[in-house]
Amino acid sequence: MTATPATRTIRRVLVALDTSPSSMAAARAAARLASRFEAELVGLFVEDLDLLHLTNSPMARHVDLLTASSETVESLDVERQLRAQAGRARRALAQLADRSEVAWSFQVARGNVAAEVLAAATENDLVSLGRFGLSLRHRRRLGKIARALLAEGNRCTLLIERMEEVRPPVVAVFDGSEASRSALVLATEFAGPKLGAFLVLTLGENSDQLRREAAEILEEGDVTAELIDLGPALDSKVVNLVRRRRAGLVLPVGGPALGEEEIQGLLNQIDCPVLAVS
Amino acid sequence: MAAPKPLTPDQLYRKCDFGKLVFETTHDLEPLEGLLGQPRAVAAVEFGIGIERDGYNIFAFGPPGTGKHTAVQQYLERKAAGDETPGDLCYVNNFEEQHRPKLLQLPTGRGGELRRAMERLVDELTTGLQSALDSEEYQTQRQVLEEQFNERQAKALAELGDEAGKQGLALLRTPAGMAFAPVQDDEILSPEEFSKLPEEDREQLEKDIDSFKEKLQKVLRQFPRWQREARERLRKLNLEVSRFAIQPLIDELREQFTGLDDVQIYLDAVEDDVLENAGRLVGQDKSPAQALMQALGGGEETDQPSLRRYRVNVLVDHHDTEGAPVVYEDNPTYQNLVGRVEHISQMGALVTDFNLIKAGALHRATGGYLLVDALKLLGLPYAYEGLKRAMQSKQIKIESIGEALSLTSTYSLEPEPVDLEGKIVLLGDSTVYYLLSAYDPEFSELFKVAADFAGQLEWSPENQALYARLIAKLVREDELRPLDREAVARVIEHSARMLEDSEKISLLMSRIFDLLREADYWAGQAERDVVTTEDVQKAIDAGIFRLDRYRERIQEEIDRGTLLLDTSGAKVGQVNGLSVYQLGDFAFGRPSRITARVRLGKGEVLDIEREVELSGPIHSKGVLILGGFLGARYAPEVPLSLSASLVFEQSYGGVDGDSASSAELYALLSAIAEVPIKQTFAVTGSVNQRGEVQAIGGANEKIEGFFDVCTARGLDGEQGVLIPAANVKHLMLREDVVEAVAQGKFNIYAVETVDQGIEILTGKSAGERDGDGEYPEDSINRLVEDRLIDLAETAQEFSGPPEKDEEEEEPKPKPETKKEGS
Repeated sequence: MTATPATRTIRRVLVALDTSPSSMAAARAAARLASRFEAELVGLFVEDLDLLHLTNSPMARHVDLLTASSETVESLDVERQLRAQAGRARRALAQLADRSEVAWSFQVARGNVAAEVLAAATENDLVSLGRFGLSLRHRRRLGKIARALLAEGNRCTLLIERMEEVRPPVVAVFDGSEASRSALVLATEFAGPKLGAFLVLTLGENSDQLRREAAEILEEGDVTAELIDLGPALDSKVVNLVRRRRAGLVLPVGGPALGEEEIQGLLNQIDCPVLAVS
Repeated sequence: MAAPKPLTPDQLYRKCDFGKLVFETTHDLEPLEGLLGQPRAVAAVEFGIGIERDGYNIFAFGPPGTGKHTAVQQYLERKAAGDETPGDLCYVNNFEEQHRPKLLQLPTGRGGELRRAMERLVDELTTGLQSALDSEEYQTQRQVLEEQFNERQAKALAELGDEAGKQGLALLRTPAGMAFAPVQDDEILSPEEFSKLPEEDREQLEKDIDSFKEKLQKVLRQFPRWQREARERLRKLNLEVSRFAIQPLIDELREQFTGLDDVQIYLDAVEDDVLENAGRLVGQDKSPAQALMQALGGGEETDQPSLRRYRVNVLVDHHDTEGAPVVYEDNPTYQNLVGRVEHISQMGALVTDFNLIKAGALHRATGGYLLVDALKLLGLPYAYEGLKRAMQSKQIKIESIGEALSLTSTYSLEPEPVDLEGKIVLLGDSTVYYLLSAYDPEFSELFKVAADFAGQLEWSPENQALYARLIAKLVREDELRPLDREAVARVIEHSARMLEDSEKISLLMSRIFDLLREADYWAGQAERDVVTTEDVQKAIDAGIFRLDRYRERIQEEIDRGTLLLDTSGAKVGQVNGLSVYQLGDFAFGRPSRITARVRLGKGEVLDIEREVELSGPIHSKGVLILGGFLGARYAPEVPLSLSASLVFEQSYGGVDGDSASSAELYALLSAIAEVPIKQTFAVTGSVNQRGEVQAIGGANEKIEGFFDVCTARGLDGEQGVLIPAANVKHLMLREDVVEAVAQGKFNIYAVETVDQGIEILTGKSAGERDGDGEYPEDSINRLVEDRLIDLAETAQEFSGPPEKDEEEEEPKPKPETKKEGS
């Protein structure tokens, strides 16, 4: 493993919008990051093909959320509602971009939501999305799209639960993998030399080596940080540190110490912004 | 009857003689304290203030300038200084009915204390609440509650989704709601795929979907209840946290205002309201309206509307009042009396609250005394009605004129009324007082005490000395130069001249005060330290000069012959009458030619002024009296058969008053008797049917008016004026007139009867009836009577022999009647 960290530049930040509170929080965080990296903010609204299929189906049964009444819904109605939703999402994104003074664009796609977001993710450097979206599954479980992005090894995925600032302090997990090196570089770029509190958690057998490597990256980024050794396996220490310091978490994905299950388990226990880097 | 002699100079002007009162200047005199010459008014004011019964309010009236206002105010202030100071009046929010602000009546000075305490409380409240509601602990608990609610909803839906998943169905979120759809391999079946399913499967799926739809509806119907429960839990949390934060602060106030039950009740209400609205107070729970207001820039960031409700509006603060208040309202509009509710503009709408309630004069004066000028009060719309209503109900109720008259029904405040106590004093002139007494039945019930201020005082040696001390007081109060003894005397003499009475002194102190100030000015111009009689005279003359341009023009036109007036020779049926022009405070006399013409007629004395409606009723009355006099005195047994016309020559304005009636009679007698009247005289005086000459007004100005004309043409010793004898006591003539009389260049005769007057004017004896009832030959009365008899005879001749009446004809024989039954 080389000691030189891979540099990564964020030029386009994608945010998947569906007007849910969680996706609005993701849009805000995306705008903040776009501003920090002087990147373009790209909004994506996907018209869910499943919904359109559903309305054409003879067995479609729609229940109104506000009145609990059951009505037959025509596909034209759904299309109109989706357009209205897209319009709201576009306006919200425009406002955020104006406030953050970043360039922005907005796209509307039609198809399977996860597939469309994954496809769009390949053309962007960072994807910001709500952790739960409009999912009706258990709130603590990661949403379908988020899971797909992590599984597909998307380079940078920012997961946001609620409306809060993406800002220091930052806690970064470093396991020596390429992903963790990239993650640490990105964290230093985001934080800059003026960072108030930066905590690097080394995760792996060879803690001295990990500390040296991390220190090099930090030095390269002109950032000072506190280094704490987690040992070979992830435990509740990370959760406690993140909660106590109300910090944002930077996680490498696909490394030797952090499998999908570990990451899922970790995310289920915290509600702070998480940047997952592959 | 002996002909009257000309008046002597000492009858024309009364000199002020201080006798034994020794002083050089007013500085040697002890200033007069209290009111001079107003025992009646003082007794009335004392009575009105002393009597503690309903309706015994005071109406102080008298001529303008008598010092009513100053005197009453000073008297009230002396009395009020020993009275108890009333308490403070405050309005506070009524948390139950916001449109009815509550009144707090607090001990003197405690209103301001409460206001400051509440301002401090509001500051501390927001800080305390802010930190309590911002605390980590509270936020965590609040978040937990919100999470619980969200989780509960999500869990219910997720469970339903999981259950549906087991049946091969997916619960989908649509833009407006939710729907179930069949899935296969984690993908939603398209309609085409669905149609390819066996019919049995399709039916089963549809059945399942219907069943889940009903379950979903059941779940959704529970959401509002869960939301209510969540809100209630949050409310309880807010309540507990807020109470813990604010209770010590409010308890501190409770202790500070121990013993004031109303304040304790108010503080309880404040506490309840703060707890109820804790979130709003610290801006956490902005109402949509507030948020919109702030977004549009209409709200005050530093003063949130919700915090205004805890302010204290101290309507009346008596903390620096000593004794009872004495308030003079110089602009007694309805709202300045009863108070008003102001409005402020917010987003183009006018809004108000209890903080915008403003006190009226009645609020400031309750428990003390309120002075109001009656004429101003009556001239302002609904002010008098508003004052009366407050006095009748003994309550000060703040409502707009529109509300009071039920003209408007817009939503406004109805502040709790304030009890009205104390006395109301109206100031005005006697006309206003008597008009109100006559036309407003309620007036007499509300103002039972009349304080009648006199406008004049007997000119006795004692009063003269007091008057000198009063002048000394005015001089000192206004820091004027002192007046020397002669100047004081001149002021007193002028005071009598102002009244046109040599036996009275004026109590119109405002005009005397003006004279003193002006004399002081002229003394200053002359670089004198003491005001002399010369300065006083200069002030009088300058005052006249400023106003007498019109008099001068008339005088000029007489001199130029535009206005015809003879001051020499004698003419039949023509006499110089005298009239007075009143221009504001300045009056002057003007001589006018009065002529009379007679001819045969039906006994009418025609007043040409009346015919053309240029005469007032009193003038017309005077002329009609002349007819009565002629008919009764001369040849009463024959019909009055003349037609006489009388006219004020070159009079183009109205004429009123009967002071020219004697002049008109002289002209008439001259015309009838065809005896010329000396034009060297001018005449004034009214006359009655018995031929007695009666007193008139403006004698001084009239004499001076004719004197000026004669002086301009040259005094020859023959000229003079006839005045009623009853007017001699009113004479306070100018120095030059008195001087001319002393030198025999001008004469003033005081006549009691027409006979005396006609003798002076014609140089002929008037004549009295002898034992046979005849007037002496060649006397005026004889000439008049003879002429009237001649006219009557002529009239009879013209009328011819009397026609015979039908009754005097021979009676016709009665028709015969047939006797029956004999």
